[in-house]
Amino acid sequence: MKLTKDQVKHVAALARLGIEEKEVEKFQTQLSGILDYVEQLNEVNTDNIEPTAQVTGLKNIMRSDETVQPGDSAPLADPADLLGCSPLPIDKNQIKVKNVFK
Amino acid sequence: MNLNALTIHKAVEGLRAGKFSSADITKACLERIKKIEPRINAFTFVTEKEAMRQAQAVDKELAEKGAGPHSPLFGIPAALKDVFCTKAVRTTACSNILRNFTPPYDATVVKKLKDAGMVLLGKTNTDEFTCGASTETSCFGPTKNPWDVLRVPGGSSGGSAAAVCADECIYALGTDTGGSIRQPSSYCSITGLKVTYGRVSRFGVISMASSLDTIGPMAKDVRDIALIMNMIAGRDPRDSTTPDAPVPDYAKSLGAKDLKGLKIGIPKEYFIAGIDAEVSAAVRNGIEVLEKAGACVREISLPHSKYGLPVYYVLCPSEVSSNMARYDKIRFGPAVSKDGEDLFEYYLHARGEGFGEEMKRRIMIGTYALSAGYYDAYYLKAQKVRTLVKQDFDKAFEDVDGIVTPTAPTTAFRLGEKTADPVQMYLEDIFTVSINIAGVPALALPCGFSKAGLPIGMQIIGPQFSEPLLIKAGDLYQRLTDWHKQKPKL
Repeated sequence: MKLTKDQVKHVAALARLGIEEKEVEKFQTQLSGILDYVEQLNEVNTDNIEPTAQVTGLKNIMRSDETVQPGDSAPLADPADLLGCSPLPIDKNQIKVKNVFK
Repeated sequence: MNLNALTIHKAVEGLRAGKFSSADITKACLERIKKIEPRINAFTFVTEKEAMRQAQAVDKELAEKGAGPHSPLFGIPAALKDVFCTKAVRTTACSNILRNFTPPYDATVVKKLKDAGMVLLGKTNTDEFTCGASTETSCFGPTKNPWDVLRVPGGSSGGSAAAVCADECIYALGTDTGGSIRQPSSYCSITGLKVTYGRVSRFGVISMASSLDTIGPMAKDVRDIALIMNMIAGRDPRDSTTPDAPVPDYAKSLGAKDLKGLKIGIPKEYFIAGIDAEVSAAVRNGIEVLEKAGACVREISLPHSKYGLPVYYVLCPSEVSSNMARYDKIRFGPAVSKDGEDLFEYYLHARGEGFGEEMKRRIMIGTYALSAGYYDAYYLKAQKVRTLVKQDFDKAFEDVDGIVTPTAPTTAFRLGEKTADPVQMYLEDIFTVSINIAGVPALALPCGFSKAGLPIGMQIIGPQFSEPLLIKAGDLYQRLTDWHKQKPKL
């Protein structure tokens, strides 16, 4: 088994994922199985091989720092419509969230 | 003939000759949807009123001004996988965490198709956040394969594949990150194109794995694929991963007389033991058709093929974990059912109840593989093996113009057959993922049926931006065979 129950809980906490105590063992088995499967990558000699992050070869694609793109007849979306997607209370154009600090 | 069973090119003919209207085609599709959806469940949302309104607007324009400069897609009803942001139309990625999300803007490709006159029939079903190969993890329940409703349509674009195959729409769009257009296309006997990475804008399309995701057309034949590609391909200033590569007229690749001079490679690693004998036979028959049409076929080797899957199942969950971080019921999503004392607890509840099991697995694998102490051993290692997999293709394309392989190792499996063990499901992607890793295009074509009547597909793979070549070869193949014309009995 590649992962301990504590490691599963730790990873879930890092990912801000609430999982139930009764699910931990199932995830432990499944995640360990997946990690076992990808272990075979260690068979491959990758000395002096550059990693590939992306395949386009593009670098540093920039745009001008303007709120509306050239060619737009209007902004993409209304700020009020964007804020309207939130389930939380809106206060002065800001989304009100729970305490970050205790 | 039922108007919903038309292809784009046949529909355009009749539309412009005044034989029927866009409203007629749209009504036929909507009736078909009403009739078979209880058995198929391809759609998450049908935009009936809006579709009829759009069709009527097209008909008015055609009557008043004629077809004029309008594209062939003008007035043709289509369906979009439920990860394409459609303004004012619910877009959920088939996840509870986005169950109520109504985008305030259109994805770039959606806007392009709307400007071309698409009539939107609705959104189609997918595995949650497109993570799957069977469309079984959708929060709206699985889609059934129209060829056998006890079987999966494949995934993750299973809804789009089923909708096209069952003539619920004329064409659809899907996404392909590890095979999600090609495998369901093959399971449902339709034609699907995975484009070169960056060929089509991903702006406004819900991301799964950012270095692997592609957007592509799913249609009834290659001619239609070419027509759709003409409208959706091209650089987008809003998607910085779209190179400034020119967009050819893909329709010019249609109608080739033969494939003389075309060199095709058959990778020996793809015809291994464990692949279904009927799949292997059907694909080899398909290759013979290409050969008789003038192509020169030879065996090649893609030595790192077996590492494609493990590379994918490190890179993909890692990138998924990063892309899923935004789903926290703060900027979007339904309200949490159970509140927390502080932000940390809010996140745990929001994401714990919002994500399905497979998403949790992928997020956790990705988080682990990217975390301090493990990043080098997993993610960086996988990126290096990715280079080797890509180099296999680069080297092969120095000798051949195209590569042909099966799309999936089996025909459509039964619902629930592979849900017990995640790795069993992952093995479905064995022939498709390397293509995403290399960023090259591949066209999935129907090439036969098993004795049990289940569709078999093959894929033609080419170097980056070789879509014209794939369309040329695929179109000729479809003029020499009629697998793609078979329809399921529903």
